[in-house]
This record gives sequence, structure tokens and C-alpha cells, in this order.
Amino acid sequence: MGRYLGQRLLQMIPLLLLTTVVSFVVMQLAPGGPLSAYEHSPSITAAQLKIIEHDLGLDQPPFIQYVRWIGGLVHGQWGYSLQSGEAVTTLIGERLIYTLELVGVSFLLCLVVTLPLGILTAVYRYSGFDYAATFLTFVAYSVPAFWAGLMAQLLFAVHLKWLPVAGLYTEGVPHTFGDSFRHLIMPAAVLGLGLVAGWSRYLRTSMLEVLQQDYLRTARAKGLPYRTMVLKHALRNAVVPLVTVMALDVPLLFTGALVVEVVFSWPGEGRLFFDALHNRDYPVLMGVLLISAFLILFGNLLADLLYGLLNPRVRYD
Amino acid sequence: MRQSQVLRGVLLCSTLSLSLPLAAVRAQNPAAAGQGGTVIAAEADTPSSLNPLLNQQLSTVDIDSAVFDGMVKVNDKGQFTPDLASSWTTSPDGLRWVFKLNPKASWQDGVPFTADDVVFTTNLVNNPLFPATSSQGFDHVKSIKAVGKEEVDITLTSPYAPFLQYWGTTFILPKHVLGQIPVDRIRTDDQFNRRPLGTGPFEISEFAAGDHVTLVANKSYFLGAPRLDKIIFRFVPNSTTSVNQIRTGEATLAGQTANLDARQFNALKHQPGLTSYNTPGFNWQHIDLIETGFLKDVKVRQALQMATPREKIIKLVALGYGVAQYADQSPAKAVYNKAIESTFAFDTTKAAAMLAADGFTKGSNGVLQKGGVPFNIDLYVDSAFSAQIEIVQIIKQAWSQIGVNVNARPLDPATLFGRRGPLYDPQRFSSSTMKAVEYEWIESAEPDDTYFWSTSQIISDKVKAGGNFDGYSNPAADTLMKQGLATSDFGKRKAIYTQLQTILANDVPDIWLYWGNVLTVATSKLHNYKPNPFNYDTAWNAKDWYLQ
Repeated sequence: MGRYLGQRLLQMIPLLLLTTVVSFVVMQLAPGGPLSAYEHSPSITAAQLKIIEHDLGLDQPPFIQYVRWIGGLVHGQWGYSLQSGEAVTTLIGERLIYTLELVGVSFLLCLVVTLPLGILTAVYRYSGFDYAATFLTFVAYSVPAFWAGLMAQLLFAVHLKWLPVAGLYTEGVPHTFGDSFRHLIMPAAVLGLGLVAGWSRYLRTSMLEVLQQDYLRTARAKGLPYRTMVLKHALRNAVVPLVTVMALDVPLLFTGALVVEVVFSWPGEGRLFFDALHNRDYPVLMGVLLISAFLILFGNLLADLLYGLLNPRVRYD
Repeated sequence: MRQSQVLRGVLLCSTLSLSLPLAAVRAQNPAAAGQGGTVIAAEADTPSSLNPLLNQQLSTVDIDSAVFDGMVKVNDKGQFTPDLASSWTTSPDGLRWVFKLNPKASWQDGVPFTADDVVFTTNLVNNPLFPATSSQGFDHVKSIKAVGKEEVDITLTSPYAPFLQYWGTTFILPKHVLGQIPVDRIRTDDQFNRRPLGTGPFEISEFAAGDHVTLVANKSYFLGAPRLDKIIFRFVPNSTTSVNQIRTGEATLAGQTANLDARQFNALKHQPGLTSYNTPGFNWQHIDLIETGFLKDVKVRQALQMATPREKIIKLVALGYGVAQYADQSPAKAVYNKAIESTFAFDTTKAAAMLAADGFTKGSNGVLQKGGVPFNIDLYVDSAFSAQIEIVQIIKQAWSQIGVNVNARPLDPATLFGRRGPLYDPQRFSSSTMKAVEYEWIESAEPDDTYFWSTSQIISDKVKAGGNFDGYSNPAADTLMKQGLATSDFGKRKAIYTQLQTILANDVPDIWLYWGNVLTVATSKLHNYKPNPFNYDTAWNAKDWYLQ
């Protein structure tokens, strides 16, 4: 197991390196550049433009720019934002906490909704409840997050006045935990909407399969209460494939966070990426992409490991 | 029964969230009438650096306008009023400028403001090690010196009429803080760039990255203490979100930079507790015609202008919040030439006749052609703006009436305005396809538009920072623009720009569309908030704002 883990971790290094090369090349190929905002300003002279270009190191060939960037990375120096001059590590560091908060709560929320929903739709298969849940999950799965977010704002904040529209907390008053939590509910729910839909369908199918197994029929025949049978014996087996899907879906939460963070003015990593993309702020983009790539690889690794832990038939040697 | 416990937890959680009352969102303004209180302004973009000399974001301009002062300020009538300078004079030849400073002005840390700060700021912008984002006006400074603590004496390299507009309104930075930092490190100095120190009526008390910036009143402001306690700028990238926040009171001001469109504005207009402001704007919708193929022919450009239904566009896209445009100066400016109104007014029949007289014939597919070349135009537009895409659709339909075929080409802004995009591509004049770009510019109070129309500003391999994308060149216009820059007498300037507007209206370098109004909304409790077309900064007069 330890050997396997070590191997997998080592494999991540060249993969991450490759990701940075591809990201860098794609960014250089994309039209527009970090200077276009300056170029399109009536108040800048050609001489000034040259100074800025040199100051940002953009007068160097792309290959040199990349080598400089990767060289810095090895020394823990992720470069400086072309836009604000701040260290990329600072920018990512102060935003990461908000994204983790959003994604973490959203993940938990997904979990607590998925489990009962998946179980109940399997147990009461073809009932009115099952059909209603099927319909709603399909709707939830198809609705784009930005639309769902704006509709939720309109309904829960503007009309019903239950929750605040957006932001981290209410401005102009002392911050409290309750206030922060109320601000978190809507973005976390919208972010998790698609995943709950997918996961609950997954659990339903896998639950149905398990419930038809012989050993469960035997358990039921021997007089085991139905509740115990479902929640203790069936669920434990049905949840195994779901766990893999969940771990693989974690990166989806991070990418979905981009849209949700923009709609709900949430100052996380997604917003940082969104703004950096607009300004072609290469060092910031590279930093965020590197973190995302790492999270995806990590999610994959976690999925494989969890699978081994939950299913004794799988062994890693 | 672990599962059911979890389930109960969820139910409990959701019931709780449903039953929680809306916490007091507006718990401010306890003080006496018209004193104290907080304004929460929504801003569409997120500032990264608050250093005014390194900035290119509108949100930063808004924040800085409450934190800093320039030598002079432009009020809502377009006049220069004293700011850090209490008076100023210029020599008859326009070469020498003397500014007397207000002796009461001081930095927010208590250090007195002096002429040395003005000299320092000017030299900083002109320092080749400092990547200033604007050097307009500064590039005309031959020498600048402090005379004692309260006077600045400047000599220019050549007479330059917009000097006061560009140099005079630039925010002055503190020498005693920035003078300690090596010039090439100022760009990366987070400490100053996130919480800069100014002389203005409000000082920065908090910079919450990506979320908000809080300003508190500077009680010892030299022009009188502001009446509000605080202004909080919230960064709300999605304009629908800011509309929702205005409706719930989570934001109390959506200024020019919150980017409300006409539909959103109409939705908020009749909401109780809100006041809407529909004011003239200096932003103009237009189409750049890249001068290739048929577009080089002035008769063709005139016919296209005549085939363009300006009034229809204003009605359908701007929902009436706009004024038809005939040349580059807004009707709100003193230099506006009213005589050019109705030049090439909408008339499809005349436009078609004009093209027929110019040798165009209709092909079998209904598209005009001349010399075997069909009249196709690729019309580019920023895909991020639905209103601009609507304009392009109306124009496509309108121009097809006279047999001009338009291919709409929506592009993301970075591509559209990038190096290889249709505006900057140095090869664009040799391209076989005719190209045009619909977008918006914002004018300043200054009538000089050399940047757009001068032959010297045509973007090419050599000229990288200019604004003449069309390739428009008219020696008569070039001469007038030069004269306009070198003339300081306003009456004479007005005559020059009147003439220039007539030329531009006739030459049609761009298809003129309309001047969009500025649509902003604030809580009805806020008084003295005045959108100012001459001064884009939302907080230009924030000192006088009060809540009641």
C-alpha cells in the first residue's frame, strides 16, 4: 500500500509539469494579451507601453518566460500578478480559504441530501415520490448554475427575504457566525445542485441492484427488520461505487465554484481565475491552474484509495 | 441508526434556515439627521491595486476619487474647481503654469501636504523605471519646480490646451511614503497599493481582497469633514446580482460602474425607496469602419450612415435612454456643434440611390457589387454585451435593405481588442474582407480627440499605442486638431472644434450611433449624489453626500 501510494505521488510530478506546459502554450496561443488593456487606453504613450512591457518581462520570448516561471516555482516563488503586482501565492492564499469553505459546505450538503434521496427512491421504487424525485433531479441536473443562482436570489432573497442575495457577510455591521452561515447557504446549495442530482441517481441504481441480492433476501427471511436490512447491510455495499464517483467529482465542485462565485460575489479562487482570465494575467492563471490540476489528480488518487479501503476484493500491492 | 440521524439533521438544518428572520441589513444611520451613516456601493469590477498611477480599473477610480485629490477637479458643469490648488495662472503663450496650493491640505496621517509632493508625483510618472498607466499631459512637462511649500511652477515643452484636464486632475501621491521605496518596487508594494494614503475626504480602513473596500471619513479633511461615516465598495461582478442587492438594501448605490443596463434600470425605476438617475453620458456607441475595399470610398461610408436607423436603435436597444450622435462631441459639451444635427439622417432610398450613382449594381442574390466584388462586411462585436449584439442585428437587417450583406462576428473582448484582432492587426488594410467593429468609447471632458482621428495615431507595426483603427486620414482635420491642442482661448477652441465636427460628420470615419445616458440608482435616503458626465468618478463629490 505504502509503495503504491509513493508510486502514485511520484507519477503526479511529471503529470503536473506537463499540465503547466500545456496551460502555458494554450495561454500564449490565445488571442489578446496582458497588455491589451493598456494598449486600448487613450492615455498611454508608446514609450510608456514599452516600459510596462519590459517591467512585466513580456518582452522576453515565451520559452524564456516559461523557464523563468518554472524556475521560480521550484524555489517556492510563484511569480507576481501582472495586474496588481502582488505575489501569486498571497493572492491564491487569501482566496483559497473561501473556496474551501464554499466547496466543503457544499460537499456536506450534497452528502446529506443524496443519501436519504437515493435510499428512499430505491426503496419506494416506481412510487409517486420516486417519479417526483426523478423529475426534480433531472431538472436540477439540466439547469445551468448561473441561472439557478440568479433565480434563487430572486426567490429566496428578493421576494421571500429569507436569505441575503450575495457576498460573504452583511456589510456595515459586526460580523457574526450566523450571518456568514446565512450567506453561505444559497451559493453552497446552488453549487451542489447538479451533483446531488447525479449522485442520488447513482445511489438509487446501485441500491436497487444490491437489494435484489440473495443474501439480503435471506436476511429478510430470517426476520431482520427491513429498516436494518436497508440501512445497515444494503447501504454499506451500495455506497461503494458512489464513493468513487464522489471523489472523482470533487474537482467538479471546484470548477463549478467559478460560476457560483461570480454570481454570488464570493471572493474565492474561481473569481480570482475569472478576473485573471479577463486580464490575461498569466502568472495568476498558471497558479490557479496548477492548484486545480493538483486537486484533480488528488481526487483521482483518493478515489482509488477509497475504493481499496471499502472493497476488500481490491488490493494494491 | 446513523443514517436517519443524518437525515434528521438535514431536515432540522433546512427548517432552521427557512425560519431565520432577515437580519437587520440596514442597521446604520443612528446619528442626527444628515450626519453619519454608511453608503454601500456596488462595483462591477474587482480592483487589484488602488494606486491611482498604476490603475486601469473603473472600481479603483471610484474608490480613489474619495481618497485622493488632484490639483483641480471637474464639476458637473464641466468647470475646473480648486482642489489641492487654490488658484492657478497660465502665461499668454500657454507655456508656463503656476499653481498656488491650499496651505490647509494635509495627508491622512497628519503630515502636511506640500509642493514637493506635486513635484514628486510628476517626476514619478515621467520616470522610465515606473510603469505608469497614463502619462497624458506629463509628457509635455519640460520642467517642474517647487517654490517654497505652497507653489508649483511648471514649464511645458509646447503649448498644450488639455494640460489642466490631464495633468491637473491626476491624483497626487505622498512623497513622504513613496519616496522611501525604490521606484522599481512601487508596483509590487502591497502595503501602499492596497491601503494607499491620500489627502481626500475618506481614508481606507479595510481592503478585503476580492470582496470589498471600506472607507471611513477623514474628519480633518481640509475642505471640510464629510457628512457620511463610511462608504463601502462591494465588488459584484454580475450586474443582475447587484440589481438584486439594490432591491434588498444589501447595496445602496449602483453608480455608473455597476453597469446597469436599460432594462435593469427600468425594473428598479419604480421601486419604492429608490431614486433613479438618468443623466447625460459621454459614452458613444459607434462602428469603426476599417478603410479597405469599398470602405475607403467616402460616398460609401456616407450611404452606410444614411442606411443606419439611429432612432430605432436608441428606442429598441437603449429603451430611449440615448441621444443620436453626428460627430465626436456630446451635446452636453460647450463645444457641441448643433448645426451638424441631421447630417445623413436615416433615408434608405437616398442611401441606395447614392450607391447606385457610385457604380454599384445589385447581383442576383440581392447583394450589391462593383467590379465583380460583392459588398460583404464582417461586423465584429463584443460578445459580452447583449445590447451591442442587438445593435449589430438591427444594422445587419437595415443594411441588407440597400443590398449590403453583413456577417455578424461576435468575439470575446480580449480577442476583439487584442493584438491580432480586427482593430490592431497591422495587416488589416491589405485584407480582402471588409471589416467593421461595433463598440463603445467613453469621452472625457476634453474635446481633443487626436487619439482617434489623427493620421499619426493610425495603428500599424510602428504605432502600437494609438486609437485610429480606421486608417482615417484628412489633412484638414489633422491641422485643426493640432491648432485645437495649441490654443488656450476657449472661444477660439470652440470655433476649431465646431469646424472639426462638421468635417467628421461629413467624412463618416465611423458610423455614428448614439450617446448612451448614464443610468444609476441609489437609495432615496442618499442626497447630493450627482452623476457627472465630465468626471467619471462616482465619488467625485462624496464629501457632500449625506443620508436622511
